[in-house]
Amino acid sequence: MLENCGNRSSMVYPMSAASMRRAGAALILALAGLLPASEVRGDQIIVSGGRNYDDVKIVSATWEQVQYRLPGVSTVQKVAADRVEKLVFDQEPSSLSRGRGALEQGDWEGAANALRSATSLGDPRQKADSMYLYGLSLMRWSQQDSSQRDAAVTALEGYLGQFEASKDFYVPHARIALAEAHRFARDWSSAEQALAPLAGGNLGKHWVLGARLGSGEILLGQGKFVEAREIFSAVANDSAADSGMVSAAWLGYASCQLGQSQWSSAVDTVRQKILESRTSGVARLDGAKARGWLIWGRATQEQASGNRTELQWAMIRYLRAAVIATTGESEVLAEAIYRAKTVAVELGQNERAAELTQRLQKLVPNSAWNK
Amino acid sequence: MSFLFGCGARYGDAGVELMELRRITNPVPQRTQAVLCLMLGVLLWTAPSVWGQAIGRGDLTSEENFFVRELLGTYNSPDLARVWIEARKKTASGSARGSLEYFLADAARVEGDIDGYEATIQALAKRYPDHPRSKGAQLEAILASLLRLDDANTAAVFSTSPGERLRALEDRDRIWSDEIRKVLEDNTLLQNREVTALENQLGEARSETDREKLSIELAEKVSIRDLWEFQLLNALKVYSAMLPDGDEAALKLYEELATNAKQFVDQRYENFGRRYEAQLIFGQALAALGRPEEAANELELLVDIEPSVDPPYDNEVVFFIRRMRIESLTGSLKAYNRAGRPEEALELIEFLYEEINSNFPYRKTPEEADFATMVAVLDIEEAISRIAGGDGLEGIKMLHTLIAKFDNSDSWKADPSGTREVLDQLSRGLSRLVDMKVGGLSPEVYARAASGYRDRGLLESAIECAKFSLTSSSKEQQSAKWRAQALYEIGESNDALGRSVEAAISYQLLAENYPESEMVAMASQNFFAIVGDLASEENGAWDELLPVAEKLFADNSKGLGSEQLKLQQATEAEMDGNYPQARDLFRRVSRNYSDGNNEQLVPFFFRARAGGARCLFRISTDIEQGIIDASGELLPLLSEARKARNVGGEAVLRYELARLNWSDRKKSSSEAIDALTPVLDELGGNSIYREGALLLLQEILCSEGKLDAAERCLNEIRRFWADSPSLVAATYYLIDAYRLSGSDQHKRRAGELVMQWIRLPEAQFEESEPGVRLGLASILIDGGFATEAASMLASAQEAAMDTGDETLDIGVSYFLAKAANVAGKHQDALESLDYILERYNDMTYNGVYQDAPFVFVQRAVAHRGFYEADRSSEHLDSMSEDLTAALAILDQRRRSLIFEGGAPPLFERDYWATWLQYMEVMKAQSLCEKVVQLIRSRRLMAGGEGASFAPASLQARFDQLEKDCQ
Repeated sequence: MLENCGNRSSMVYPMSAASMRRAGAALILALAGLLPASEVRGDQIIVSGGRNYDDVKIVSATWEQVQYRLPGVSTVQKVAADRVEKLVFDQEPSSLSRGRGALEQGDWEGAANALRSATSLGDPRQKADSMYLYGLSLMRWSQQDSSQRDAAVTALEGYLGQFEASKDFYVPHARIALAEAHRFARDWSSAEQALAPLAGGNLGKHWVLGARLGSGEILLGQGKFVEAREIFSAVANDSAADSGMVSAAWLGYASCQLGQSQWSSAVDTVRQKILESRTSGVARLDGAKARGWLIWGRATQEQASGNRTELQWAMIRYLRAAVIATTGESEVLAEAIYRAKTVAVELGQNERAAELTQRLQKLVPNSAWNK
Repeated sequence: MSFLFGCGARYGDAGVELMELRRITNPVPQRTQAVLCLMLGVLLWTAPSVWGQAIGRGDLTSEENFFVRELLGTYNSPDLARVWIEARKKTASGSARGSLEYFLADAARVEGDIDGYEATIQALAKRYPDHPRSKGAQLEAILASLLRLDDANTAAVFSTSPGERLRALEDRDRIWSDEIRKVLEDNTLLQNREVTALENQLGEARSETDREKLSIELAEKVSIRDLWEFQLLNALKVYSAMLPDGDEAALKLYEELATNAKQFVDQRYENFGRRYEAQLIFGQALAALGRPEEAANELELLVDIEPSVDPPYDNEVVFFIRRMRIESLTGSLKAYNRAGRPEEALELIEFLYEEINSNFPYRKTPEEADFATMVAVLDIEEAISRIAGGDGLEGIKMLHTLIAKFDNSDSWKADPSGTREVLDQLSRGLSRLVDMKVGGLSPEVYARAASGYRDRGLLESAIECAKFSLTSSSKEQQSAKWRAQALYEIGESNDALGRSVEAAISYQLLAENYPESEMVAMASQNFFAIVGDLASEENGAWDELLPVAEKLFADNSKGLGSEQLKLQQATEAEMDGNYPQARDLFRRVSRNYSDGNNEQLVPFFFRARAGGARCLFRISTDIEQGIIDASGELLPLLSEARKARNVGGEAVLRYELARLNWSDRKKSSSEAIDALTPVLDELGGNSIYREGALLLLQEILCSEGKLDAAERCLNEIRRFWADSPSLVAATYYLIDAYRLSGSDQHKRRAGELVMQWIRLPEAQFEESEPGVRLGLASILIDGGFATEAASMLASAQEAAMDTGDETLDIGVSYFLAKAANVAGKHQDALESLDYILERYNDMTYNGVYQDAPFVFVQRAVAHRGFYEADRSSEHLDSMSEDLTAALAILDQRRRSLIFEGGAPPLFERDYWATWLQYMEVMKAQSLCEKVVQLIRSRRLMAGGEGASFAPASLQARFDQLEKDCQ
C-alpha cells in the first residue's frame, strides 16, 4: 500500500517479495517433482519413415527399442530404435535442452558448456543424453578447432564406458561420432576400431550398415575412391538401409566420383538420387540436399575451364547449398560459401568475394574454410 | 477522488486525465504507445475545458468529445467523424469550433496524412490562440515527427533493397536528431531556465500577494517542464527500440534513457503518475542493457503498487494501477529472458501465481478490453520463459492459445493495431527463444522467429533462423506453409542485404518445392524480377535461367500475377520500340481477375489500356487520325474509371489523353488542360499516377502562363508529395513562368518561389553547380531579394574561383553587380563591372558572351544611381557611353535573330528597354530633338507614322517620351 506520494521509498515493494517468492518457488518445484509421471506428457519420437510419435511419454530408450506411453494409456508400447531419428523431451532441465539447441544451431562451444554442466544430472536418461551430446558437441567443435579433439575422444569414450553395457540409445551414434573424431585426425585405424563393434553386428544389422558407411568415409578420407565407392554403392542399394543412410551413401558415392574426376557422373548421381528424387510428404530442404548442390557446384566449377556462364552456374549451385545449409551444418555451409568465393574471384567479382570472405570470418573464424 | 489527487499534486491530476484518455483509445503497438502517450499528454491541456452544457448546440459536451474520439480511435472512422464534425460546426460555439477543427486535424492524422495534420495544428494554434490545445501545438509537432519516425522505420524494416533501406534509415535518423531530439532538448532547457528564473523571483518576492501569484505560475511552469522532460524520455524509448538489437548506438541511448528516467523519478516529485511511468521506463531501459537483476528490482517496485487511499477507487485509477502492474511484470520477465535466464523469470511467475494470486495481475479475466494486448504481451513473455526454462509443454500451449486468438482474420478486423502488436511481440519473443539456444522447435516457430529477428534489425540472424524451419523434422502438412514462409523470409532478408542471387534462389526453391503455398505467386514474381535484372546485367547463366523464371511465374501467377506478367512484357516491348506487340500485350490485360473467392478489378487495367492507346498513337503515321483513334479508346474509359472510383486509373487515362494533345506532334494546350483539370479539381489522394498527371498539368499551365491555376496545382502537389521530386519540378516550372512574364509582382513571386525551392531536400541545392546558383541569383535579384542573392553569389564566387571558368567568373561578377545595384550599392556594382571590363574587355565589347551588353546596362544603372544623388552631367555622359556600347551589341544580335526568323519576346523586351533608357538619358542631356528623330525613324521602320515598334508594355513609355520631347 502506498503511504504517500512524495518520496522514493513509497514505491518500495511492500513485502520482502524477492525472498518470499524464492521460497515459494522452491516449494512449487519440490511439489512438481512429486507429481505422478503420467501427468507429464509431450515427448516426441521422430522416426525416419511414417508418422512421428507426438505427445507421448518416453519411458526408456536403448539402441534396440524405445519404450513409450500414450496419453491416458497405462501400458507401455515400443518402437524399434533403428527407425528412430531423434528423441525430443518436453520436460528436461534447461541446461540439457539448451545444450541440444546450441548443438542444433552450431554453437559448439555454447553446447559443450551447457552439456558439460548437464552431465552431472541425477536422472540416468538425462545423464546419458548429456554425456553423449557433450562428446558430440566437442567432436563437432574439433572439426573447426583441432585443440578440442582429445577432449572429444575422451568424452565419447567416457560415455561409452558408462552406458555401452546398458545398451543406451546413443551407443551406436557415439561410436560413429568417435570414428569421425579419429577420421578427422587421420587416425584411420582408431576410426576403424571405433566402428568394429557395429561392423561385427553386435548392435544389429542396421548398425552394420552404419559401420559400413563410416568405413566408406574413412576410405574416402584416404583417397581410396574405388574401394569407398564400392561400399557406398552397396549401402545405397541395401533394402535394410533407411532413407538417411541411403542419402548419405549416395552423397559418399558422388564424392568418390568427384575424386575420380567423373564430373558428369557425380552430377547425375546427386540429381537423380538426392536433388530430384521424389519423397513422400512435405518437402524438406535438409543437409543432404545442401550437400547435393555442393557436389553439383564443384563438378560444374571443375568443368568450367574459365567459361563465364558455367562459372555463374557453379556460383548459383554453391549458393543454393548456402541458402539451405544451417549453422548446425556449418562445415557444409562454410564450404559452400568458400567455394562460391573462389568462383567470385574467377569471375572478377571482387566485391562479392569480399562479402563472402566476411561471412566466412563471422561463421567459422577458426575453420580451414576461412582462409 | 483519485489517490493522486489526494496527494495534492496538481499534475497528478493530469496523470489521471492521461489515463482516461488512454482508455478511450484502442490498444496500440508498444512502439507507438509512447507516441500516443505524447499525444495524450498534449491533450491534457484540452480536457479540462471541453465540458459542455447541451448536446448538439454551443459548446461540446463530454459525451460529444468522447463520441468523436471513439470514432477516430476505436472505430478508426475518420470519414464518419468528418461528417459529424461538419454538421456540428454549424451549431457550435466559438471555442467548440476550435475543438472541432482540431478533431478534423486528428482525422487527417488517423488517415496517415501526417504533414497535413501538423500543418493544420500549427495553423489552428495561430487561429485559436486561446484554445487549450493550442498551447500544446509544439508538442503535437513532436507527435507528428514521431509518427514520421515510425513510418520511416517501418519502411526500413520492410525494404527489400539495401539502397531503399539505407535511405529509410537515414530519413529516420534525421527525423530523430533534427525534428525530435533537438526540439525536445531545446525546449526542456528553455523550460528549466524559466523554472529557475521563477524560483529566483519567488525567493526575492516581498509581498504575500506576489509570492502567491509567483507560486501559481511556478507550479504551472514546473508541470510544463515535467511534461517536456517526460516526452524526451518517451521519445528516447521509442527511438532506442528501433535500433538494431545490441547495437552500440542503441546501448548508448539506453544508458542515457536509464540515467534520465532515474533522474526524473528521483527529482520530479510533483507528478506522481508520470514518476511511475518513468520508473517503468527505467526498468525497461535496464532490461535492454542486459542488466536483468537491476531491471527486475526496479520493476518489482511497480508490480504490486496500490492506491494510497481507501476504496472505492476511480475507474481510471484502477486502470492505471493494473497497467503498471502488467507492464512491470512483462518488463521483469523480458529482462530475464533477454539475459538468457528464463528459469528466474519462471520462478517469479510461479511465486506470483502461487503466493499472491493465480490471476495476478488480472490476466485471465482482464475485465477491460483495453488490457487484451498488454496481457497478451505478458503471456508471450511467460510462454518464452516456460519453453526456455524447462516447461516446454505449458509454454507451447500458451503460444498456441495466443496464436489461435490473435492470428486470425477476426482479430485483424476487430483490432488491427493490437493484433499487429501482439504478433510482432510474439515473433520477437520467439527469436529470443532461438537466442537462448532452445532447439527442436517447429517450422512455424522458426518461421515466426525469423520475422522477429528482422523486426529487431538483425537480418542475418533472420536468414539463419529461417533455415531451421526448412530442416525441422515436422511431418505435418501445415509445415509446408511455414517452410514456404521461411524461404520467403530468407529471400526478403537477402534482398535487403543486397544479396540478390541468394534472394532469387530462395524464391525459386519456394516456388519449386511448395507450389501449393500462398506465397508462391509472390515468390515467382520476385524470382522472375530478379532473374530479369541479373540477366540484363550479367547475361550468361541468368539468361539461361530466364525461361525457367518466366515459366514459374506464368504457372504460379494465377489471377493477378498473369496480368502483371502481360503488363511487364508489354512495357518491355514498348521500351524496345515494338509498338504493335506492346499494344497487343497491353490490350490482353484483363479487366477482372479472380482472387480465389471473388472477381476483382485488375488494379492496373486502366493503365494497361492507356498504354494500348499510347502505342496506337505511336504506330499511326497520320497524326490527326492517330489522336482521334487513341482518344476514341481513352474517352469511354474515363467514366468507367470514375464510376469505379479508381483515381489512379482515371489520372493515367487523363495523362495519356493530355499527352496526345500536348505531344511534339500537336501542341494543343487547351485540350491538354481540359483533359487534366479534373485531376486537380475533382480527384483527390496521393496516387502516384495523380502526381504524374498533376505535374504534366503544371508544366502545361506554366508554359501557357496560366499562373493562378498553376499556383493551385503547385499547392496540391505540395500537399500530397512534399518530399517528392515532383514538387521540385513543379516549383521550377512556375518560377520560370513568373520569370518570363515580366511584371514586378511576378518577378517578386518568382523570387519567393526560388527561396522555397532551394529549401526542398530533393532540389539538392547545396550540391548545385555555381552556374545554377547564378541563374537563381538572377531571379532573386529581379524579385527584389538582393541580400539573399548576394549571399548565394558569394558561395557561387568561391566555387567559381576553383573552376577557372571564364564565363562563370564573368557571371558571378555581373550578378554581384546587379544585386549591388538593386540594393543601392552602386559603387560596389561599378567595381564588379570594372573587374569584368579589365579582365575581359574585348570579349565584352565584342559581345562574345551572353550577358556582355547587360554589363554596360548595369554600368548605366550604377551611374544613374550616382546621377540621382548629385545630378552631375558626367554621369549622364557615362550612361550614354555605356548604353551606346550595349545597343551596338544588341543591334547586331537583333539583326541576326531577324535574319534567322525573328527575335524572341524576351530579347525584344530587353532590347527596347535599353533603347528607352538611352533615350531618357538623351532627354536628360537636353537632346530632345534627337529623341524625336529616333522614335520617328523607328515608327517608319515599323510601318509608318504612328506605328508601334516596341512591346506593348514599353511602347506607351516611348509614346510619352516622344510627346514630352516634342
